[in-house]
Amino acid sequence: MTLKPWLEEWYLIVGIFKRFVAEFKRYYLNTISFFITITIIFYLIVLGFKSFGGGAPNITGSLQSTAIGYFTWIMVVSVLTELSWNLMNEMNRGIIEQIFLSPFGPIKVYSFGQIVSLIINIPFLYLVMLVIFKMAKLKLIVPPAFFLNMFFLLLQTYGFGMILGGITLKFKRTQALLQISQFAIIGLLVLNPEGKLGFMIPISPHFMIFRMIMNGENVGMVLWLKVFTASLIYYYIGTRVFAYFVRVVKKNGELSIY
Amino acid sequence: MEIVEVKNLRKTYSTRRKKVEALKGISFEAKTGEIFSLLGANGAGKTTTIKSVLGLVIPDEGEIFVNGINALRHRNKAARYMSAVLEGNRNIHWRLTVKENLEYFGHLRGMGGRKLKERVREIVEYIELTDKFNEIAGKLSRGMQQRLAVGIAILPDTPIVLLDEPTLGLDVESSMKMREILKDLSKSGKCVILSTHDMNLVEEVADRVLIINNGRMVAYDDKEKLMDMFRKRAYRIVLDGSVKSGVVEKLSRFGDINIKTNGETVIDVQLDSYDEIYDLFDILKETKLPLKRIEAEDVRFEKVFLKIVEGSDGK
Repeated sequence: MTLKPWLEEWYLIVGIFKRFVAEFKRYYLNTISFFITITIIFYLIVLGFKSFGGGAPNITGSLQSTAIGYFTWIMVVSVLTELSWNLMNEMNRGIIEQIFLSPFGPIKVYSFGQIVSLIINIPFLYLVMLVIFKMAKLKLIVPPAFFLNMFFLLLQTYGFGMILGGITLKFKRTQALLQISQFAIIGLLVLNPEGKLGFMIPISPHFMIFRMIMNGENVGMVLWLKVFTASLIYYYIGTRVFAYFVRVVKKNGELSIY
Repeated sequence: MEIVEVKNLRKTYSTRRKKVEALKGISFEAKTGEIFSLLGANGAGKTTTIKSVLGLVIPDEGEIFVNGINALRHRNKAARYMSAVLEGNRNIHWRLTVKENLEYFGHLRGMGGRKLKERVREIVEYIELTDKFNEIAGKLSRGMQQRLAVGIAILPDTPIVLLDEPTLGLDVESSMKMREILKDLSKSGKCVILSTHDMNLVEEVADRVLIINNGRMVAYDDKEKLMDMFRKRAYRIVLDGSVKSGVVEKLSRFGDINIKTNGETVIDVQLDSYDEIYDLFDILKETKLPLKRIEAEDVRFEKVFLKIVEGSDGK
């Protein structure tokens, strides 16, 4: 009996989620270390602002921006490189071919993997942020528009993650490239997203919107539409590039090589 | 019923330095309820064939139909009908337990809920890993890992199961269990496509055989027919007494002949045609030695394989 496609996809997400959780639990020391590092960095940010910000009237506002900026940064870097790390792990362990045998196809399986990773990471990081703000007796205010912008930004980053994933499939060991890509994002942030096609510059317009949101400025409908369109385009390009590299490695018979 | 049809597969792997023609026009059909074996030495092209059928390698030319679906055009659709055990330790997640592995790969096939849980229980009993249910796969023995890999492959109950070198590196006990599993699969109506260079395995379980040598098909028939071709022409003749060197010389014109003399003469001969037996006896008549015994030799598949491959090399 064939199940409804949505139910099969739901089971796929459940399976990936259970695997993530199982590995998180099994290698708990690694998981704990990761979250301790994040917590310490957040804490230092908050502590730094409290200690050196003095009685400046906008301290909370600046702190909010910095904390949210850091939170966003972690998410972007994670989404950008997660697929590649995952692929390298699977090539290294040798199970990548079994995953490619899934009738869902590799794009769907790995896209769902990224979504699951976010489902696990976002609430956890947000919780860390909340706790630290609470400890510092500060109120964390995150406007709802932040989440919309975050969604568009991550959608776009998924696209770039797919491109890097495709390159990893073909060239296998891309650890150094992944490090460089993080610096490339910093480079993108200094570009000016204004102008006619400025919204097509990756990542930068989203950070501009974050600043607008935190400054209480109104983000117009047109700008929202533009960044959403850009995100969709980059996501689409990402999936096509990934599909291209899947085809290349299958043509060369080098899927299982690491 | 033919459930897998492969037509004229060709594949060349290119590197900067050289080109390797892995498949040179492979065609076959595999039916439901049979064990179809791809047989060949290392590097013959078996794995490329299996991976092409599975969609893990894209051939340069040819067509593949799985349950009537063009597998090269609609890979994901065709994948619903197939599962596989690939060569080596490429089938299990080492960091997950037996249970987690079965569930994870079940989910990857779109299975879930109570049905998956029940199926996992059923499979784990079948592969005899119930007592290792919560053990990490990386800590299991090679035989157990291979059984788990088979469990993962049969979990979704697909009509086609492909296995690439399933007995490689297994101990006797695990290898016997694997043979049992293969027979059970074919009895339950599945099409089992088996790639191996284990002749004993082929001899014991295969229904039909495709022998590949250097990417080329050299034999494609029922296993029994292939064996019969040689069984009928292989003889052991025992004479009471030693034959003289002149006779040995005359007998040496029969290509594949082995003569041992030690009080009696044992002649193992593989004839090229049935008529040759009369020529052989004409020579033996000269020895005037009493004929002690003559028997058609029990042909092992290994010998059949070697003869076919040697013949194809000479072409």
